[in-house]
Amino acid sequence: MAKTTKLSLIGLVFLLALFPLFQPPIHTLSFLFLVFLYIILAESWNLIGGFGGYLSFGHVAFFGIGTYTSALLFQKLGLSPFVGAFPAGMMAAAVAAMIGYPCLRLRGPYFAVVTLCFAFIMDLIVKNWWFLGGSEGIHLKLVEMEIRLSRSIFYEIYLGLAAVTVIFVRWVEHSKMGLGLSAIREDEEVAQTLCIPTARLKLQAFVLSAFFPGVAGGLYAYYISYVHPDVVFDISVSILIVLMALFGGGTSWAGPLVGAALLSIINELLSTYIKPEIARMIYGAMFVAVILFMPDGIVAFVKRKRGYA
Amino acid sequence: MLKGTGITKRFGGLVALASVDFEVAQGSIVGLIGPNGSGKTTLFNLISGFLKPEEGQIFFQGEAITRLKPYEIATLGIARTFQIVRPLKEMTALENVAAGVLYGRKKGDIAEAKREALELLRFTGLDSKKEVRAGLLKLADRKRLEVTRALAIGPKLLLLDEVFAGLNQREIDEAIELIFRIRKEMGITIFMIEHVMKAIMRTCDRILALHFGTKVADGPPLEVAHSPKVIEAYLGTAYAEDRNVERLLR
Amino acid sequence: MWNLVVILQSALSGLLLGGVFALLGVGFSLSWGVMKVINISHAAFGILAAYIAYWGLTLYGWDPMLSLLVSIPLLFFSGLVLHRFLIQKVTRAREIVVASMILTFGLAIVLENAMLFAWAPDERLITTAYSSRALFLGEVILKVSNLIGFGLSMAGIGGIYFFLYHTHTGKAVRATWQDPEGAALQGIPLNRVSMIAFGLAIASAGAGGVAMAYMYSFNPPAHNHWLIFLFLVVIVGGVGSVIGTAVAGLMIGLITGLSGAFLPFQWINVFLFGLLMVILLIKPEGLFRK
Repeated sequence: MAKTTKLSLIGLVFLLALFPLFQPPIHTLSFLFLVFLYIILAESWNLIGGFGGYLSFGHVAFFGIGTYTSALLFQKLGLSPFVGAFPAGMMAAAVAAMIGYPCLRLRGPYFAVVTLCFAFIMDLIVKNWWFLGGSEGIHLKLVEMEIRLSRSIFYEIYLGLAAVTVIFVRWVEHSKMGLGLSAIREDEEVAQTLCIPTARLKLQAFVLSAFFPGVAGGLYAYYISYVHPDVVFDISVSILIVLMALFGGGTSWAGPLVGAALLSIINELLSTYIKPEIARMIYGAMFVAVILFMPDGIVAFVKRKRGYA
Repeated sequence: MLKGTGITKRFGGLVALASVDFEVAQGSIVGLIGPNGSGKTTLFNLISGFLKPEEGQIFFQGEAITRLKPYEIATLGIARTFQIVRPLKEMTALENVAAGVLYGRKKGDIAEAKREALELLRFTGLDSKKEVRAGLLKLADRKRLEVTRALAIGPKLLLLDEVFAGLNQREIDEAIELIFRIRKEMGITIFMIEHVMKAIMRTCDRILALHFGTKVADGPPLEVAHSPKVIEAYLGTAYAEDRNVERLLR
Repeated sequence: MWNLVVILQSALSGLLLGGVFALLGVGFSLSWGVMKVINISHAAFGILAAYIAYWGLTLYGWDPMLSLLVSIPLLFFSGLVLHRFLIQKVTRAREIVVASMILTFGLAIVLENAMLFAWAPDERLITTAYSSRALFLGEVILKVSNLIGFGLSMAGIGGIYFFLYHTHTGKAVRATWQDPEGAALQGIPLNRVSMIAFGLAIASAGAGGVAMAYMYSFNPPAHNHWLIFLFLVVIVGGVGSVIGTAVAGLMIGLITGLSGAFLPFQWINVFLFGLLMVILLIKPEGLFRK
């Protein structure tokens, strides 16, 4: 990565970290919080989706699993969600290991559909299972805190988590695992002839890609304090993650970051100033436009324009 | 080094290979010929683990590899190329080869893998194209890349599937040179499917011929070229008796 | 609950619904199989046709079947245009399936929200003079509107089958389906054939949408719900098999109807998705792959 890009990114993170000190509107803090969340989700999704070429359309399930795990740990054992976020991530990773093993044997659209089913089923199971609060959800009684302070704290935590996720994904991209995943994505049979243990590598990527959403979910339980399946197992989030990562460009670490940030900002601007239906129409038209003119994502498009190979 | 006994492969009602025995001695270059549809690529797919035979066993250096997964077979030391080249398009030539080096020679360090990959690209004459995206290479270079990538994993046996197809005279001569160098400098045994007779005749110590899934000849090149069964397979029975056809096969 | 009448009733109404699934599935499968385009907007076009039928009825008193005279050509033409100007650009992309999914997803969003903007999210129901009438088979009640929907679906499937197997263009479509390169070598204009196939697929979605509207109420976001069933039908039946998809549609309808008799409402969807998952994991080529 060019020195200037590195420096400007570090600078940006620094500025964002200081941002709450300027007493911005709470709405802005909440909005940026959401952007960070999407960055975490899209970046970690990219490990299996963009790098590996296996598009998981049910990734929100791992987020939901994380939320519920940490909420339950708090409810039944009194474990603070700040601590509970880690086991939440592990739980999401464990579930990913279990369903990844059979599901990753499917290719392309079939994998997409089976992961979508998985998310639907998780949503429905949680809604109907009394132990998990059913359709009532789980209310968490938490420490009373002034809303600006609490928003700011979560803002900083998620900013940190987003930065960690991005750094990790970038590290994977340039690692042995990253090269192996690229080979799998380009041609899985050829990857096999190159001694790449494809099944194992895919599973590793899948499990890793579930861990971060799990942790983010674990913390999210605390943030919203009322955990309900409609919110944390929302299928449209699942689909949005995929679109954000591919919009930005799946083959590089920067893609999901750009995609998540851009789409969130555009979405926010559109829905603030235009009627929601028109805004969504423009949103949809944007996807069509990007696919037609920048099919490998924005980052790749910009790189090509700038003259990189 | 490589041995197959009683290999039978069926696709539904179609018998692609019927009780084929074959052997490839270490250090040799063995050719596999036969008309289209005779089962050659199927045999390669069976050896490399992408297909499983209905009957028969395949042995590599004494070990049975019939039921192994493709990547396990590759790890044991069998590399292959594909008839229709399959470059990893979005990756550079260097990355294509480096992936093989990393995983095939069990390296941990990407920089070191890239260095070795560069060495291999020099060996096959592709080093000037190392940063080019594989999808943008022209056919002859793609074929070179395919071979380089196969060499990357440090194999003991190399399965080449019609590497000479589509090459012009000069490129064929260069490729023949490369194959000899691979055997001599790297000590790799080669088993190759080919249609280009000139290449087969000049490089191979032994040739196996298949026809409709059965082995019809197995011996030194000249013997196979004169074999009536082989001539019949390629040109039909009428020619099997015609001595003039020998000249066609030179 | 083990009442035979209830079971028969559920099975039959499920079967009728299955007919609509079959028609919608066949069109979806056609586009996936021939053009490798997973058309996420397929069901949305169905909703559009349903709205045309609804407004035709409400504003002008047209019978919904008459509205098909407007919607079928309109949708066929839309399919041609969409294919020519959007889809064809995408089939050159590195990964057709992904690109087509995103493209048609964007399209679906545009369609859905255009309809929302124009006609609001209110649920609409098509009620004609004869909709409330019913056929009685013993104690089993079959609503006339459901029967009409089923009949329309069967006609649609029949039409597609006839096109594919008994017309020149249709045979070209099938050839392209099985072997694009071979078909091209035979002189078949791939683009034109794909265009027509796509137009046909969209038109059939329209017919399916109207058929569905005879049975259930609808509004713009309903296409998401239908889409899940489409995936289920096409994957069970095998992408690219007209008969397989049609039979799968009927089966899924039947299963949906029957599970309504045995399972609490909330668990029907779990059952269906679970079924889809299991099928995918065991036999992803579908039960009827030829």
